[in-house]
Amino acid sequence: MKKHVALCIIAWTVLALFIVPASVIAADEEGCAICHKYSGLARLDKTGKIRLFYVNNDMYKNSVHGKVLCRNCHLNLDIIPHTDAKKVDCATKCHLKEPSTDVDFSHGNLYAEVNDSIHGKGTEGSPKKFSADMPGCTDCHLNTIYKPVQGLDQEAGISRNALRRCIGCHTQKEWASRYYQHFSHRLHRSRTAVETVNLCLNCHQDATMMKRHDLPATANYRDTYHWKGVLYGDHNMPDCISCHAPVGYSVHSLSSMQDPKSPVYMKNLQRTCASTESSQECHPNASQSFASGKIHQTGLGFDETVAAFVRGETSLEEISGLNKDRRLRDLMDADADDVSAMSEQERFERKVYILVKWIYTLLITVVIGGMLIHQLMDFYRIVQNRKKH
Amino acid sequence: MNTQKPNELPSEIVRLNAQERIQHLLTFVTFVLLVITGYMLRMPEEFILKFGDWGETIFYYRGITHRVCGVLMIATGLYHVIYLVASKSGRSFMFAMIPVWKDVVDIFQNLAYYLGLRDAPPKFRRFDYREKAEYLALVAGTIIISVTGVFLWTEVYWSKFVLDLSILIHGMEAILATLAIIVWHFYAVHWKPGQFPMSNVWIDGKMSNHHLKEEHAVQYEQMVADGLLAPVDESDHSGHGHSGHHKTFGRRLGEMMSLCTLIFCLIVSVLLLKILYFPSARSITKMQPADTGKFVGFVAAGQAKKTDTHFHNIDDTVKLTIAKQPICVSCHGTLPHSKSPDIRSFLNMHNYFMACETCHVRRADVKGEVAYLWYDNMTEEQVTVIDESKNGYYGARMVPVATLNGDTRRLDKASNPGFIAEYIAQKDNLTPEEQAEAKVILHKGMSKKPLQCTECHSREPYIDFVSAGYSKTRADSLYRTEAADMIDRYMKFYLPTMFDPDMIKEQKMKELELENRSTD
Repeated sequence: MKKHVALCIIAWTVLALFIVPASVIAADEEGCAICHKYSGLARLDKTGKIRLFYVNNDMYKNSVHGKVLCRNCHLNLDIIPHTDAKKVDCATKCHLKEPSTDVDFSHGNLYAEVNDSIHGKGTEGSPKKFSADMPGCTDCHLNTIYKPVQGLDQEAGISRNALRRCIGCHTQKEWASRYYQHFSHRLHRSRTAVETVNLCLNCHQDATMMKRHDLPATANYRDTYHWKGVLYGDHNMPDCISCHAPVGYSVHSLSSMQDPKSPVYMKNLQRTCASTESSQECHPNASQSFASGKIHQTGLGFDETVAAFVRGETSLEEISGLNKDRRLRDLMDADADDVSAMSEQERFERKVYILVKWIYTLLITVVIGGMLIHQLMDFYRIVQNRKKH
Repeated sequence: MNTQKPNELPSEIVRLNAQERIQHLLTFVTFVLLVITGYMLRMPEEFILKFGDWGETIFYYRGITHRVCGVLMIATGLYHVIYLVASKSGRSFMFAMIPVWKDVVDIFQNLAYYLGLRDAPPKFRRFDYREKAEYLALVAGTIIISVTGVFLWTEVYWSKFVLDLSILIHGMEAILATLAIIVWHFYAVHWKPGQFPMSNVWIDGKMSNHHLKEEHAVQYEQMVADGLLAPVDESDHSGHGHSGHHKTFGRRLGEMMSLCTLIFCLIVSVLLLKILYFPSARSITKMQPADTGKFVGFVAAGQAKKTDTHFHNIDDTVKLTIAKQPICVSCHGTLPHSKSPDIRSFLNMHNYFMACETCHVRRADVKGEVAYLWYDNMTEEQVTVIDESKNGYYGARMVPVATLNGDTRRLDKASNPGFIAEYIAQKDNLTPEEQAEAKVILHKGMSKKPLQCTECHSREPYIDFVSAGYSKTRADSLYRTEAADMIDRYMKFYLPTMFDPDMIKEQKMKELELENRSTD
């Protein structure tokens, strides 16, 4: 028995020797993890928002910024507590050198690209209207954990075979591994299509916010076949980026659909739907008429209004804020705000659509209801007759 | 049944011939598959996401199946049309199906019979109004759904308006058809007393003269008069009901299955009605990206968008889960400290591995001996060893436990739970004064002045960390390197050299040199 205990103790010690150092040694040159390794290091700010100061060092090391020191992004950390800390600005120049030009590395050029795009906040002197609505870098980007490409099927993981070739010459294994991940991670999108859609919809399905910018809320994407396919995980199904920044366009320089440069500009739609330039053709035979018409109409009335009632939004403000312009009565009325921007034909088509919807809903209600009553009477009569016999 | 009549007249008729049964079977199979593969697009999003990695394959075969069955269904329709025109029995089927004035009269008479205004139902011909209505609805529905389906299949040649309308009609017609099949058809051939659990006509095509007389009296009388069918033997009551007969296992099984389909169809109907009347009750609050979704439970619902994702990838540990939440948390939350800007985050961090009472109750204010023990957050069982490599996320919290006269009591368990529950329920009805009064009573176990940082993080800590379960190394570090220095000079704590990588490197080099080891 004692032998067993002793063995256990030895085994435990040996194990501990292997396990414990791994986490202790975790690179933390600046000593930040001494405090920031605790997951509860957080507080609520005045608005009730959580300010979380926890960083998982192991995850951080495997992220795209894993080699960047904390203080390279978080400036003015000299004092604890970090009262003087500056808000991180991705456009500042890091002390890292960009290897191709040997100048200080920075995301500034991308920042400028975004600022020139429809999502730009404008310059300091003349900010855009509602510039607070515009996304900053971290609204879309996380410090992503590396998901390198393993093979042509884009399975995540490191291809040992490929890495072996690097290590032949680049003997520093950790460096080679990191370099391998650095580029192979970029061979695929780090977000799934579902995540991308949810990211964009975070703002773009917000009817009030969109109204500020004279845009339709695009929540109706989630009624489309495209979205169902995305939900099922079909890689050929388009998310937002597939149409708004297809091959040849950058998500950082999205433009308004009124801009002739935009892939969703009316005259470019046919080409975008056909998508013949990408490795995957979507609707190669897309006709002009197929590629016309508004994709992201606002809600079509009836059902959304009922849905709002069901959710308990019974007060008029709530409904009117959300759905005023979607009510059937308003939609049928050509003078309503929502349809005033439409052409005569669009209005006509809208009315037909809503009319068909109403007729069908009514038809189903009456027919199925009538059938149900008929069958219940039939059942009642049979039971009554059986009782008599 | 007496089939050995002297004149050898059959006692049953062929109601559906082989051709018609094949047509029914084809329609039945394609219809069911079309309904399933069609509604897979209208399932709630959560269900679809549950398919996970299988989703793509399922979606692929869903599409293929739907198209193949659609083509098959259209082909069956064409086959049926040819049958109606080309064959003699087909033509007689078609003519018998044409609605006539008698059907309208029949509807009213039959309803009157249901309501007890008539003694007997009207005498029906080969097809009664129910069957005609269903057949014609099937014809119309097949045409509508086929046309819209073909539009959707050849989408690139049509305008958005045509496609929008097609999607709408295709879906609406599908709802109508499915509900009609359930309410009208399945009732008539499955659940109606007399048919339950199932009419066999679609399998063997036969109908007894009893049944025919009851349901299609005109046809029965005509056939008997024409000498094609044996009249019903009035002395033989075997045709009426099955009561009193021994139920075979097969029949019981059939009844069970029929009942199951009834329940299943009820559920389907409810789901369809939801799609019809409340189609897009999608949540206005957005869904979370999968890898940061874990954070959501941690954040109070309805918070601003910007906290959904966290730049420094969050893991599960930020969510403190305690099976039986301490009463403090229900009012103060998991991040209770907010007053002192310098240290509130540090104080909150302690909440992840110790009960509030560890700092907020001083031993001097408690009767009896106080020990500090670890309790598992989920099982509430005592834990003797904590995994110190887990950075405070032990799954257990340190709790002061008082022992008095042999009785032990966890100090994080409220001594007056009834009062607290009552207060929480009533607090909105109380005046501020009453609230203040109640709060004094609520917090009466708490010490006036909580433990200060340096009381524990000192050379002689208030809590003996080693006897509380920490290793010697860890207990020491709680004073030396990690905490004490920093806390001591808190207000003006400039980044010390020990945190400077270059200094650390220099120090390391010196150490190595001292030990006479290589510095390469």
